[in-house]
Amino acid sequence: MHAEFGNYLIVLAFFVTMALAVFPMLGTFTNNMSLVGTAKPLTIILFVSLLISFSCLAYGFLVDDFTIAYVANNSNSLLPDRYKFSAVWGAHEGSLLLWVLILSGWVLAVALLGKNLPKLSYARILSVLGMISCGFVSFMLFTSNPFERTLPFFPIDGADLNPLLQDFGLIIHPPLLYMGYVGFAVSFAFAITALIEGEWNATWARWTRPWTIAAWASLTLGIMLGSWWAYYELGWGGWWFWDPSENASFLPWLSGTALMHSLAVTDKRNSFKGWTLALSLATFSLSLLGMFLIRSGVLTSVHSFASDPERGRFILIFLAIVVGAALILFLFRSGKVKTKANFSELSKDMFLLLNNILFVSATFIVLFGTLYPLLAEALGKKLSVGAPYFNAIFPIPMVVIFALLGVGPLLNWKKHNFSKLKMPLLKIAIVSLVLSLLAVWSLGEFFWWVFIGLALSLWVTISGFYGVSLATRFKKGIYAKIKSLNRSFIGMTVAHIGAVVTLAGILLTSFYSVERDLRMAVGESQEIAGYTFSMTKSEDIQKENYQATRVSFDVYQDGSKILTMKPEKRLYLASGQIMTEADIDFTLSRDLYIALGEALDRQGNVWSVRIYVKAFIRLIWLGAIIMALGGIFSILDKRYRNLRAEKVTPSQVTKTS
Amino acid sequence: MDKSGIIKPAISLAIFCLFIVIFYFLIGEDKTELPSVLIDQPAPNFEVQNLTREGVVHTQEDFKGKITLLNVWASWCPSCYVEHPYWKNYALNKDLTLVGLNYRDKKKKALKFLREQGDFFHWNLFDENGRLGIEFGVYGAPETFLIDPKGKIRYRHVGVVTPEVYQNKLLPLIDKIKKGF
Amino acid sequence: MLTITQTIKRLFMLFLLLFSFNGFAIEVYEFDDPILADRFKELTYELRCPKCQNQNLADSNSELSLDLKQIVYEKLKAGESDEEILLFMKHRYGEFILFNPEMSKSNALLWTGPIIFLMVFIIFFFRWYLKNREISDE
Repeated sequence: MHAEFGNYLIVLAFFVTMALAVFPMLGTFTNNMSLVGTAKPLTIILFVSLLISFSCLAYGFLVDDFTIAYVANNSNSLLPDRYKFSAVWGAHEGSLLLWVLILSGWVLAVALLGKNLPKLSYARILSVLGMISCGFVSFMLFTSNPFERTLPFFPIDGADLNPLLQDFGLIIHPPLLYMGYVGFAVSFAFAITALIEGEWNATWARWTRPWTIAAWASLTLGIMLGSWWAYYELGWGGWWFWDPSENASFLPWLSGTALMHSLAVTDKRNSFKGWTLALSLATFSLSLLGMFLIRSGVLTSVHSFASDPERGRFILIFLAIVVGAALILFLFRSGKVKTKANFSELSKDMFLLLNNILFVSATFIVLFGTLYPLLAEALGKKLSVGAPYFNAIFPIPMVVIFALLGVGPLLNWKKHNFSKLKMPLLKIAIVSLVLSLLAVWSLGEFFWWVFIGLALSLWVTISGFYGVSLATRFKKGIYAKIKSLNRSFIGMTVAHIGAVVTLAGILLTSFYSVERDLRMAVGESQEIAGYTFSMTKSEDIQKENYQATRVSFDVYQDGSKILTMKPEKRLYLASGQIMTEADIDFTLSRDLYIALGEALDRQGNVWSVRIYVKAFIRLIWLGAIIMALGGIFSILDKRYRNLRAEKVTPSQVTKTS
Repeated sequence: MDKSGIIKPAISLAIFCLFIVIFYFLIGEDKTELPSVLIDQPAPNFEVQNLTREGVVHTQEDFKGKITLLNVWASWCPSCYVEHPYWKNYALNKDLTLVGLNYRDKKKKALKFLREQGDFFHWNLFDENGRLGIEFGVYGAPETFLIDPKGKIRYRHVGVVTPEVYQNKLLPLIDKIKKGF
Repeated sequence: MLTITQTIKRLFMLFLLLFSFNGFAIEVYEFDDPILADRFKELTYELRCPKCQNQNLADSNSELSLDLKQIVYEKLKAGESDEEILLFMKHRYGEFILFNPEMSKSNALLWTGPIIFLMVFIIFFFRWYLKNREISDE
């Protein structure tokens, strides 16, 4: 019953999204208020039906209903319950259902919290979101229905969830990622509506900001989790491969960062409207492009879902319609929302504009590098663009961004008198360079990139604290100072510091980590980077759905044993897949990482092993968490709360195109 | 930025459409397929043992003067079992010399394969460590190379050489080679 | 008459045949010289596994990858340069096997594209800025 029910609810959702796409929008142009009023109820129905449908699928997993093809392909009776639940989004069809569920959640949130928006705009925004939802729901309904049956011949047991995915990371990585991807649909819908209406003012920007920041923070965490998960799960010690699927998530992040900052300017200064509109459209378009690239099979990636040309074509057409419409609207309607350059060379405005340009360039670099092999292939040449390319070019705009980041937040809007900043900035620069030099010297070998990167990290951090002290200089006493800061400001400072923590982590781990591939036997020891690893024993174990060989290592530092590590080589019973499960011991300053390669003898006492001492790698993900926290904190700023009380400026009574 | 009339929108839309079209045609193409970079290059130099005849050694010179179909096969390759019977028919073509390249296999298993499935090749090369395959840019089995009388590689097919492939891809090219091109 | 290169090649292949591996995946490549070990790491990161879903040789466990890694190992020990090793791979598997795209004429757009983009962007921006400045002093 649950499968049928779940299926019918998807069909219902399809019709609801069609209604939502059409009725409210139509109502705004025909002045039919009852049509306009259908927006909110439709949104509620949409969310509830998708929520129940999702629950039906989850139920199907939990009761081992192998008459549902998706369950049969991705689950197994021996699979632990928590993975049965996360298997719901473990493959294409189910992850789509999660995607549309989250999207409908965002749409509902807009519907419930947008009461104070001008009525017609409110309706249009929800209609645009309805159109987008309609696209995704149709995609699911017509090409990727998770409730397809295996009847009449259903398997006795399922094929099992891919062992790689049987992990905590899988439980939270996709949901967070999708929260980000679809969250940008909100600002997209706002932008489309603004272009339709021919008007976009500062209050709209203020309204969209918290949504965009929330989506951005979510995407930050989603990407961070993906990186962390790849690191410990794949067994090779890497945390970013510039793989097309990673780039697909990174593109909306880069664009979304620019968008977030551009919105701030439109909010505060009522300018940069063209930029903010363009970035709103671009960011969600990049989400869609990412979805297309991954699910169509057009790009080869370790992360690809099983590709199907029919699905690929469907997404492509959807992408073409959405992005095409956005592009046309922007090209022909953005003239109505232009602004003048009302700021001088040295101003926060100027620096944020440069920020926009640089982030867009960074986005372009990743986009270009990812798509270039496709273009070349269309012209008959097959080549690869991988990490070496991106690592060579991507840092260039980033270095400039970090350099500017030390100055920008300190500047006033519109115009700043530099003479007062000259000395403090110079001092901060010198301190940063000196401290960085000391740090590099204490770490051993000198690397230019580390020196520059650490200097930039310190530059941004110290400048951030200086900015705090400037902002609170008229208050006496710590308590008063802290109280006087608004959350937006704290959030910003924290997020910026998070960014440079990540930067520091990346550089330190890239240059100071030690990796060794060795052949070791039980009873042998190896010394690596000041630690001694001693292989003590090898034993066979059995768990719920896998068998494994577990090899124990005692780790010594300065002669005394500090811990025991136990990497495993697992055989998953249902699928027959063999996985290597690394053991990692982490502190802020280093990860100790052991992964088993192959057994070199029949008893399993001699192994090829990879032992890594990864310097400061935790900083990468810690920095991302700090960034996200900074973003979330800034959403809690009082100015957004007032939005609910105050009426957003109505400047459209019968605005039509 | 200024709008230069209709030009800027037109260019943007044109680029956009171009991308959509390119993506459209790229969907459905086999992404794992790698075109050979040795087309129209001479076959690599090598010295490799014969699989079935002890002490016999072959070099690239053995390809000269005849039109050769070099088939990469192995006893561990499932598709090779599907493909192998076709070679019986292709062997009937008197213009062709069929040579097998036994790739990364154990001699015993390879000989067993030939015993059980039939040996339709004029001779077989024994590439136990796969190095000869690498010289040819082989990345899996089965693969088949068409080599002309001058010893130049003219074509590579990845996967099973079905009668369709033989008819539509190989024969026309073999004809051309026979005519001296 | 064989050239010296051909003779060496023949001997090399003969040598390989005599000491061929028994199909057993040994992953450990030991170098006495740490510089060689570093170069090995770099090269196996830069070379793509021809039959995997976007993996480099270092991360891939496919048989072909192991064979290619073995070749890289032997060539490094034989004293070949990075360029020679990359060229060896490229001649057999094409540019596809190079994760670091060549800086060739056909790839000119790839390497110059981003710079051109940034420059065009900045030029357009400055033109706009200078034309549209409108600062009212308080």
